[in-house]
Amino acid sequence: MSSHREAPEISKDPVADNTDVYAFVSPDRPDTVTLIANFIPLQKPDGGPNFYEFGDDVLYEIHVSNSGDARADISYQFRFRTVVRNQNTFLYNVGPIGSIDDPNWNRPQFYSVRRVERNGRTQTLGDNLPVPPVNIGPRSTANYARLARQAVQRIDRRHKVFCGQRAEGFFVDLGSIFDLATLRPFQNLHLIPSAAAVGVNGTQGLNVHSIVLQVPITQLTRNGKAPKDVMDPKSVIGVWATASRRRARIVDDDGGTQAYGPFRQVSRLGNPLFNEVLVPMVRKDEWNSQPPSDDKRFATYVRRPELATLLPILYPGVFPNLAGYKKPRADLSAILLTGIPDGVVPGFQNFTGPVLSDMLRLNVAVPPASDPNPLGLVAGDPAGFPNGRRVSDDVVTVELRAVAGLTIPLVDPSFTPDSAASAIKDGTTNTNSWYFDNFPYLGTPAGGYQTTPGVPAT
Amino acid sequence: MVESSRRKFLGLAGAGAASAAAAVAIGTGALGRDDADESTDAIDDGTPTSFVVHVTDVRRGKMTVLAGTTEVAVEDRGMAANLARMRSA
Repeated sequence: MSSHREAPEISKDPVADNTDVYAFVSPDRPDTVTLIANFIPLQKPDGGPNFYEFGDDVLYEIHVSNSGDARADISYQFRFRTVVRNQNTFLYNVGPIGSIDDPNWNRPQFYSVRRVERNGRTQTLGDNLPVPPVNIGPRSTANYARLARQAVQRIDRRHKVFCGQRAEGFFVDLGSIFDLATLRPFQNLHLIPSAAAVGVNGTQGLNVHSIVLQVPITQLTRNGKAPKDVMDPKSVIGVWATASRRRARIVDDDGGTQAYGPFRQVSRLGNPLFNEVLVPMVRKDEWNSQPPSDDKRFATYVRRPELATLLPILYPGVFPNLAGYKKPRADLSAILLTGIPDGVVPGFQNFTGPVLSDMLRLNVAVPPASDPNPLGLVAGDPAGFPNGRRVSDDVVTVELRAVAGLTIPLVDPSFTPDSAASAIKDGTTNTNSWYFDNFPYLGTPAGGYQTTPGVPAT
Repeated sequence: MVESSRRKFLGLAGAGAASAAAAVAIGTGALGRDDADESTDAIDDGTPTSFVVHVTDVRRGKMTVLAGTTEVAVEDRGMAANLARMRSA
């Protein structure tokens, strides 16, 4: 998936597992950028009585680099606190939850938001902010959309924030791709063929927990201005998210736990699928623990991606030009590790400098698209991935096509992509509740009562 | 190497200690009577009531003390050896 269970260690720690990161100029407030980090993958909506929640013992962060060295110039830190109101029940709620402060909700969660700048300046933007309950069903959370809206908070007059459950917006044919890189629409061409079929969205009916923060552009750029010139280097920011846990954890005799020591990073995400598909299994946990500024150590996996070698083997005769291409993949390095420099795509750049680092790179001078194309930049829509990432961008198809060679001519005009490179896809779309046009953009989560496993969410 | 008495060791933890071959969680009950007296003194000085010592290399005496949100590296071969012996105590 994008980064769901993408590494051996974090796959056992879902509360800290960063699954997707988004960064885009807000379509309804183009003087702001919306930053989203999702955690806790593959939530079955009916997962009670201990429904999904953020970890009180996890430090969640969204980082922004605006000075070209892939180090965080600004970090937004989120810490959560859970309260149990009624000590004598096993229930998540003891009656209908009519509002976000309803005493029937037995396990409310609250959070703080801090902005930490590289120079050490720290500002608490909000404290004791409410997380909405999860979407349980029509008796417990009858009007879920209204409940969730109550958790949208304005903080510091300039920021808007929401932390809570959302419908999974990422879509992928998970069962197919990890069955030896099968793509159902083309599996008749696979080395082990079967009849072509329609893609199946593996995240259908599932939820995630989202941290959504809307920030004025002037709060994120190097010079504190909102640039209008796309070619201005100061118009590009790098974005990634992390989760960290305290260094030691002791299980008490009463079954509780105590954490000791400083926080250590256990999860990281910038570009979707980076750790998942490019980094070999034995180094995935290490990658999760490192900052983007050290990604030079992983650059070889971008320049010579394993998947690009496998595609011509698994689809015999379909990718002959890709099979014959032996140069390091400068196109993928530009897209994923440095940003696209001036002169590659006319009128566009999101170059952050020579430091090789996995970050989502967003040129904030590019205005939102009036008619967004889910294939983003490769389809001529510079407001979409890999210029940042919108919730509706089809990053699986974009990255599949890039790895298959579609973007090589950007840096090596002598290469002719295979015809399959522009057709390859996994054949899925979002089958969960649709995205919103406004904050928090990710759709209403599937309800526990309403959702039958394997059937599209209602 | 840092020469460190047990009192000094606990003081380091209280000042903001860091992290194996063995990890040991120490509360007041984990120490012998004499040592417990010392730890009581330390607690009176504001030391956390529990913290974690992570022995990363017994032979070289390398340890880290994890207290609160801090981590301090310590080298004390004698103490590491004593802690190692406590494993089977």
